[in-house]
Amino acid sequence: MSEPLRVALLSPCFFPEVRRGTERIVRDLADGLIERGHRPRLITSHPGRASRTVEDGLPVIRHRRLFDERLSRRWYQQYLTHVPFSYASLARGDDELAHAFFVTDAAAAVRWSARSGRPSVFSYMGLPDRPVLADRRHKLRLLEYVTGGVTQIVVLSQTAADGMWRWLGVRPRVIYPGVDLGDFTPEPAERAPEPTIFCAAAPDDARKRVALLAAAFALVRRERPDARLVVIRPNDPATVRRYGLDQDGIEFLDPVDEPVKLAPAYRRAWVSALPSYREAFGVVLIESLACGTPVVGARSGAIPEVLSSERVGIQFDGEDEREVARCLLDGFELSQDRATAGACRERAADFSTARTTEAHLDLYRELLGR
Amino acid sequence: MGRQGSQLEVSVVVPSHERVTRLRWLLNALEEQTLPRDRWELVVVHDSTDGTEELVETHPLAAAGVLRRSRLEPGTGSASRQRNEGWRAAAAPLIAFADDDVRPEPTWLERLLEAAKANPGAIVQGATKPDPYEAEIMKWAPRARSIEEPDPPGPHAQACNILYPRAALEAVGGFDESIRTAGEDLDLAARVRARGAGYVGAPDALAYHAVDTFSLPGLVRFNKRWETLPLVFKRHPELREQLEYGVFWKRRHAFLPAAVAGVALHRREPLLALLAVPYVLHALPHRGTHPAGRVRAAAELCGRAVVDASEMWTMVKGSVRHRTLML
Repeated sequence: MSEPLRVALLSPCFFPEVRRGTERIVRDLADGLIERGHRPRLITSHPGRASRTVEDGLPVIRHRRLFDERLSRRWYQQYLTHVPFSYASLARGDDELAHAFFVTDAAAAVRWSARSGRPSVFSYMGLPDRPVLADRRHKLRLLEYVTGGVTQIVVLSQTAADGMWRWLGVRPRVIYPGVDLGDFTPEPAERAPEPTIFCAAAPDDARKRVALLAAAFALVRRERPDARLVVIRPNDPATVRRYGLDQDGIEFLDPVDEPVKLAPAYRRAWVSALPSYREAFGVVLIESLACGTPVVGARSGAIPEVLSSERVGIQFDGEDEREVARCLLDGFELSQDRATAGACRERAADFSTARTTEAHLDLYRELLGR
Repeated sequence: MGRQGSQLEVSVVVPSHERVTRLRWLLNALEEQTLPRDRWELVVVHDSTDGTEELVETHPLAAAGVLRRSRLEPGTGSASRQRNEGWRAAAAPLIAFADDDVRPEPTWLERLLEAAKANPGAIVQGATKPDPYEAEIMKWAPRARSIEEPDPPGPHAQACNILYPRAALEAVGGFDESIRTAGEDLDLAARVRARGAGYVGAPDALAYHAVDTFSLPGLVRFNKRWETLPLVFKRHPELREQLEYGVFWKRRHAFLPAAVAGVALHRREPLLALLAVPYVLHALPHRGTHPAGRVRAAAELCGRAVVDASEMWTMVKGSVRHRTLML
């Protein structure tokens, strides 16, 4: 085996403080690197005291993040105050490469890269689009600094790459995020006897358009009175009524710490639904496909990129609940096709964590000339 | 090459200086204009070193033959010079000026053209609002700056969103390039109107202006650009109607000297502190009724007083330099 790579991963938040998509991707990447004998470490921050720990084999440096809420209320770019400390950790370390997952951390990586002459990578984890590129103080300035100085930019999908070019004039590399296909497996015997829709999106986020799904579900029930819709329980109880989630046939699943705990829900469902717009990727799509469950999703953001074939999912345009309802009913039919589960699993295999790790390793080796 | 032989109705002229990302967003917005592309062209004049040249070379509008560019020696331009270069190179009888930090609505050019046709020979000013994507910054940052002219025609005739007949520009020689930093647009409008041209608004020709934020020292430095304003008001005495009491640029400026005197002298006579009341009433930001909001408003008031003082100092310097009085 070649010499292990020493990679500093930088993310402003990490488990257990936040368990969103980015934190999962960082954890999966770190695990993949460790499994392959490399030496990643994570430089992150949290509201508590600074600490150094080793978590499942990953050295984690947590810096203290001060005044975060206060600055956020004044519309500053989020996650700013830990950046000097993260830079100091980078400067003191012996990393060969710094890989940041948020623009403020990327600024530290760019500065480190300029001083040390070593490469830096910035993974932009969203969909670059005009509404979000200058919506906070100093955000555009930071983005320009980072995109102008970082060695390589990575995005989650071709849609995000197109956005990066259109709005920032940068041609990034696409590395799709992955799902552990061992955790998400098909079990046809577990499928619910009644037509069941599962939506793993967080309902409190308006961008996920769970209200549209609820309105469509009411129409589905006219055709299939036995249909069920399973959604994640909103953090704000008022969301239930506001989004029309208080109707018959809707069930709630408590939010989970580990995505793998959602696997049974995917398996029970006939179809998964992701009505969101502006998705940079949509890991939940892959989780569903890996469980052999087809998806009904909006033709928006990167969803069409993932649902590349009608054998694995159905897409809808616009915000018409009748159109969404029709697609959900078609989705029920698609799920009854014996070939569907296999096609879904086959598509999911294109997005395994192993492939994602290898794609990152290829990039690191290319940048390091190894 | 331009499309001089075709039936161009309007040329959009954009001056740019080291703002490649904002310019990209403007070009993207122009790409979405509803006015058919055979009826308009775009001329970008820049003196930038930040990738602007590559942008204007490679943007889809260039490939479509809509965008022409002109590059000046880096750092040698000014908004006036670049706009003059632009309209002189333009081929259409109507010239729409847009700044590189605005983002027009898709119907902007169509509405501007409609208003120009309904008012032949007139200057047409479109509506300008702070970009809604940056609205929260405008609301919460103490030193945020944008351009707001929601109900045109406004008194300042800002060139970030305005249309002139080419003949009117030729008649007065375009922008005065000796006014390099501020007020060149107001000066041009005054000269064109003095020759009898009308000045109308096109509220539907909407463009959104970027929101910039400044540190306190940064804004004090930025304010030095206003030193040319007294010259404009000296040249066009009729514009003094826009000033408070014919002298003060802003109403707050009129109250600031008394406020400073009141604060300075209140130890001798506590009642003199009341001199600061008019300024406080006009300048105190609204940050809610919560105690934290009131503390914040008070802190911002101090910063605002510093900014107002720096603006007045710039006006004093400009007044001395141009031998007129504006504060």
